[in-house]
Amino acid sequence: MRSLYSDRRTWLHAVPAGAKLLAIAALGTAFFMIDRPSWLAPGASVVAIAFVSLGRSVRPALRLVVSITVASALVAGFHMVVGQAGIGLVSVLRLMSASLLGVMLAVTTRFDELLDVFETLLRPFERLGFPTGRLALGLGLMLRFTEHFFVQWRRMDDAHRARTGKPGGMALLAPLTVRMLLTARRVADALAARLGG
Amino acid sequence: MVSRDAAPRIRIDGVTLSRGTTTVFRGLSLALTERRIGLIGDNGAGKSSLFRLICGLDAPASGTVEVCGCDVRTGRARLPGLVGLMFQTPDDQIVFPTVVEELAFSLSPTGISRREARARARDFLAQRGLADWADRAVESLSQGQRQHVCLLAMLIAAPRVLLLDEPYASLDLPGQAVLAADIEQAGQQILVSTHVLEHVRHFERVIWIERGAVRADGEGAGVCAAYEADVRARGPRRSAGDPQPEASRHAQLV
Repeated sequence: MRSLYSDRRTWLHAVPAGAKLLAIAALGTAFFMIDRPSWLAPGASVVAIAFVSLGRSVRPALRLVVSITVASALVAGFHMVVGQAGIGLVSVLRLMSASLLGVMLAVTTRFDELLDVFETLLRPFERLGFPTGRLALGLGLMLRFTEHFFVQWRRMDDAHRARTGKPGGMALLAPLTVRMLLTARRVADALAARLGG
Repeated sequence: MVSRDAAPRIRIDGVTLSRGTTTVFRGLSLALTERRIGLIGDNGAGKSSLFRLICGLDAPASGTVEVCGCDVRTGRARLPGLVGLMFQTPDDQIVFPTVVEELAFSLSPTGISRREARARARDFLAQRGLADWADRAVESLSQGQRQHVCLLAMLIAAPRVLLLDEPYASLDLPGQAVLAADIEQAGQQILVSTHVLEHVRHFERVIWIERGAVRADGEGAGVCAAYEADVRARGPRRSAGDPQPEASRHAQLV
């Protein structure tokens, strides 16, 4: 599976995965509860500054960020057309902040650190007989596939540009879905072979 | 190291495997005891399907497959300790974003803690002079290096049998040389499926599979030469799936 993780160490690599997940949960909730642009804008600025502070380690994710920016611009444009510029601004600030937080997590967090957090959180269920290790792996893989999705999309978009000179856009959706399903099956095979599942 | 005397044995007995409307194997039987066995044949001949059978990913419609006495259908939980499969594409096999995590994951069936597994993975890399690989992002590695990580992830789990599916397919010549040396040094029984015949020509046993059946089975040099002669006889546009001329059929060794 492809990944956005960067081995170029940053200050955020040293922050425990649990703290990062907690921060994402808290900030994400706060961003979606606050609907005043005057409060959201400083929060989004802090997130943007944190993202920029990671320097060159975010390079693998830059095209993803550009895509999110384009999507945000479309959302803002739509709201302006229907005369709801304020709601558009709030939506864009929320979308960009949440996305940047997710990208920062992916770029600076190792997968087994996330699994440690999930297993700790799921430990109470272990007493009830749930296979928490497998459950944690499943949750972690869900995040890994999100990363893989964007990296795979980038590669297919590159291939489309090389052959047509134009970005793939929505035309990539069907082949990308098929590719993701095939990857899911192959990864499941690899896990079954390695874990004896 | 697995000694020659304790050589693991793969027994495939009367196996029939179907996929959709296609019968991949019909009554296939093989006893695989040699330390190094090559699998050759055209694309679609059944090499990868044979590997999937041996590591329990595909279940036969009839017949049995045993690895070191363990029935792969009923003993799935024991299989990771007995047999490891290296897939054709490293990206399908590598789940974790860094090398040390990927290697440590291979130790998870042993039940040791993740911290302990990471420590062992670092030691394992250091023993091979690859300590600086531990924290590297897999994404930053070349294709050959990723292939190497896949092999290391299998070796650290120390299964008794390694199945390598087209391991040379995407490697440059230096990468092929490194992988061939790794295979040479490994103590396990190793089965290699490949189109790069140079890497199996010296093997004590090579099996040529054609349309789900054993076309030739014997010492590497002879079987590889027979396969090459058959490909030459078929000409540039024909595959083994097409009807074959009599002369070519007579090249069959078994």
